[in-house]
Amino acid sequence: MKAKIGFEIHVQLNTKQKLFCRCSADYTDKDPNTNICPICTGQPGSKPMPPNLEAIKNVIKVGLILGCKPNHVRIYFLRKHYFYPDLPKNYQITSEPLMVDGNFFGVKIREVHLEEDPGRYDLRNGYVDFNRSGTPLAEIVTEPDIESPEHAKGWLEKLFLYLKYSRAIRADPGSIRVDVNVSIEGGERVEIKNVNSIDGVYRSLKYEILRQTRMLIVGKRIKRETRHYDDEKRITAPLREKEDIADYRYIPDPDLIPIEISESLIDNIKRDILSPIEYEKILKNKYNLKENYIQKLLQNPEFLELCIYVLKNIKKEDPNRVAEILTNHVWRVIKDTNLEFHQIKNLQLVRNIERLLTILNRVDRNKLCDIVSAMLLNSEDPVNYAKKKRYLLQEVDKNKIISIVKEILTSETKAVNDYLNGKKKALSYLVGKVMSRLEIKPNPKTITEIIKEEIYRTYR
Amino acid sequence: MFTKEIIEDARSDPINHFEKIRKNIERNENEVNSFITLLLDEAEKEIKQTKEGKLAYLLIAIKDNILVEGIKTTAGSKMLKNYIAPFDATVIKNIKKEGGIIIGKTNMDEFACGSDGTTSAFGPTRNPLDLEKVPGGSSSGSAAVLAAEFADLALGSDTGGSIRNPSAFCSIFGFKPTYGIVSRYGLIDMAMSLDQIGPMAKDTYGLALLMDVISGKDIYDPTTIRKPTKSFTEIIENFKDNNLKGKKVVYAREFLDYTEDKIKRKFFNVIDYLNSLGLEIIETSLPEIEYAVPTYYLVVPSEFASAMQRYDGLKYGYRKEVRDIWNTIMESRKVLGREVKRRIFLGTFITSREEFGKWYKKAVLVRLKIRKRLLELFKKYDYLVSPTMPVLPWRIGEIQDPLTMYQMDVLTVLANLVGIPSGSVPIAKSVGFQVMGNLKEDHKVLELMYTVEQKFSKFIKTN
Ligand SMILES: [Zn+2]
Repeated sequence: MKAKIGFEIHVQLNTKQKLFCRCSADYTDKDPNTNICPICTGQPGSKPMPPNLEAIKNVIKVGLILGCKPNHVRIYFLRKHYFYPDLPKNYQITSEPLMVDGNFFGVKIREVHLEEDPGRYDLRNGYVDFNRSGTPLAEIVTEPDIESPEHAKGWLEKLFLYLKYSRAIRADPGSIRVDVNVSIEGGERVEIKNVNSIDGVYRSLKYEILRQTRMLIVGKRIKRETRHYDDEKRITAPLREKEDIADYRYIPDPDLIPIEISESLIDNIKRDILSPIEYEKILKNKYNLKENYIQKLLQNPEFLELCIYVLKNIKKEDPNRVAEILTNHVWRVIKDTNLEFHQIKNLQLVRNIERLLTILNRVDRNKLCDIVSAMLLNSEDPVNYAKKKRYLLQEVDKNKIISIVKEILTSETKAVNDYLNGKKKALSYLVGKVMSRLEIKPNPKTITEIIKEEIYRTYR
Repeated sequence: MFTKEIIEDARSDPINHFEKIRKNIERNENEVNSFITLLLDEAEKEIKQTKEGKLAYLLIAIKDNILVEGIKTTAGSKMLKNYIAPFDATVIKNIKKEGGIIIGKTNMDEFACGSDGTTSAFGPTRNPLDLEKVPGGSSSGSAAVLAAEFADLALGSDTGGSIRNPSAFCSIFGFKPTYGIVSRYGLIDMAMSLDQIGPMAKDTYGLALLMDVISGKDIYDPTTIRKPTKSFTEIIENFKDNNLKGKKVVYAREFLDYTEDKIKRKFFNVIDYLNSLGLEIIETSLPEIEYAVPTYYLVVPSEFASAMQRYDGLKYGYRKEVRDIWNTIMESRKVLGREVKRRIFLGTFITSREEFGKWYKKAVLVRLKIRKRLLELFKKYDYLVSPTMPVLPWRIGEIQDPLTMYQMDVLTVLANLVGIPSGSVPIAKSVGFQVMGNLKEDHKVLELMYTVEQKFSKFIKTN
């Protein structure tokens, strides 16, 4: 069953300080309520300070990675009202959409905006810890372009890989919060609130799609509602009605002046950010790469950057040949060892690949990984290493082969006859015979060609 | 005594100066009820230390919605009856830096919701000029302490007239600066886009002196802007009457439709005098004023309801613990007074999904129109003037109907809706003359106030 799945994803932006005060944004490993001030605990009379520029830059970064465009020049902050013990002002400051209309691996991005994170409420004991209160979040809203739980998982993994690599978001685990909405044909949209991991998203979707499908089969209506996901029981359950019909009474926050998103600010950030969608264009148009190489390169942003680096610096080579080495052998070696991308990203790598390409036609394909791994791990020169290890299929004297072939053909008349009568095995037998007479072994294909040619010339 | 004499008195013998004030308070505060928290012991300790700065040894009363670190800050509400402020408001930091001594926190309408001081949870303040009458509001205590000689200077806050209204009723000077010139950091919110802290004093010089100390850009309040002049006091000191010759003063005839005859007569006395000084007087029509109060009373509750969300009884303030958190919040919020609740209900309604377009959005648009109209006016004219209040102080408890009470703000709300500076000069007992000027021309407003003061405020000295 094809589903329509969309996300509202909260990611913690990577900043030194909170969004509207000077408290540290690093709230982990601190005693409860020690990383706070009058502003992030909503004391009477406190006001937000001007928004943290680092957070603004990072949310723009997130938008650019997702292929978004800036929304407008002036972005207002809004107040979203709801009562909850972890929300000190009982309203959350959230910006208008900053970045809009993106596309990330085929999923359209509606918008990305900035907001403040609440504290943490320990429901069981009734404690609230405001250490996290006021740290900056980006909320990413997608269109319902995802079609299955598997698709959702793969896409989210790629999303976090890219966002973490850009350092726009915090790298520590547990900082993922996703609201999932899902509908199947014939049913209304159901929202699943606050799922805390990618696996949780996958499992909640599996459950929810099954639930909705069953409802339809037994002829029940799927109503529009908000549910929450219980990761222990692995089920979704409806929220209390009160929480479902929340009216957040958005108003512009009078305490904050709108932020100006200038073109120069965007350009500055763009300089070190390219989104997959733009990389794809470059790989296609500038390097003429084959589609399967492009898709392989885009899987991992760090690898992608490494490859772009190599492609940019390598000269007079067919980019597809370079991509073949990179996506197959270099990728495998990196995955199999503890190598990190940045450790090998240097001109030496470029030179080595250039050299490797010069012997590519003569090298034993099965040994390529060994060569690449020696090259990457032990700084071996690929050509010398291949020679040393006798991985090179050496040039042989073609005339010498021809004379041996002629000799064999005259002595092995039975095999020749068999071959002429259609027995394919006879050919391999003849090749073996020729091989055994040669000290330097050429590619068996070469011998096969010569034998065929000689038989053809003699018996046509 | 006027501010310069007070400064003289306080510097020459601080302790004697303090004792005089203490005596006044001990003698009359019971009747006036102008303080919620009196800080006589703390002030006495301070007065014995060496003070330096523009406000050295001056005793300053602070409206109780402005935070003073370590001191109770109630905003006139039972909700915050025991709330100890954890930090100094920016204006307080500046006052302390300039040697000012805080004598007490003054009584006010609960969360500044009121126009005559009667919504305070700590009982109404009485007008020192006539104890049966209201002192005006919501900065009731700050005006009363000056009229009663309980302090040298005071701070109030003004959202729709809360400084100017009690200044007029108590015959003192009050000034609402251009929005953004004084930091609101540490001011308990009423309506954030309208609120402004301002000085209250016994003359224009006192206003200028406090303005010098409290104004300026503040990193803790993103809405602040740079002050228009380095020194307001210098401008007042270097000022001569004929400076204003040829300046254009406009008043709207609609203002006077709302005004009592006795006040109208006093108002025109001032107009005639200004005319005689060579200022050009122009009568104009501002039909928009009809929309000022309705617009104001839509914007205020919308922002107020938002600001009041934080009082949930969980983190600070009054808490009535019941079976679960949601009921604890609801029970705790019941401690809020009637007018406060009315505005929360109204604001919640106005900003709700269904009503937003009908009320909030419209109010914002009308506000923009009014703003545009007034700023156009200031392209042509230097000053817009009116009486501060349309009526004389009423008896305490006389006005019960909220709509009648709201209408009392008709002449003062314009300045807040537009953000322009506006001050009130006493021209007769409980009658104020209101001067409004263009954005960031606070000093010009003070100049005209000073001109009026020279001629009409002498009666205060004979009090
Ligand atoms: Zn903080």
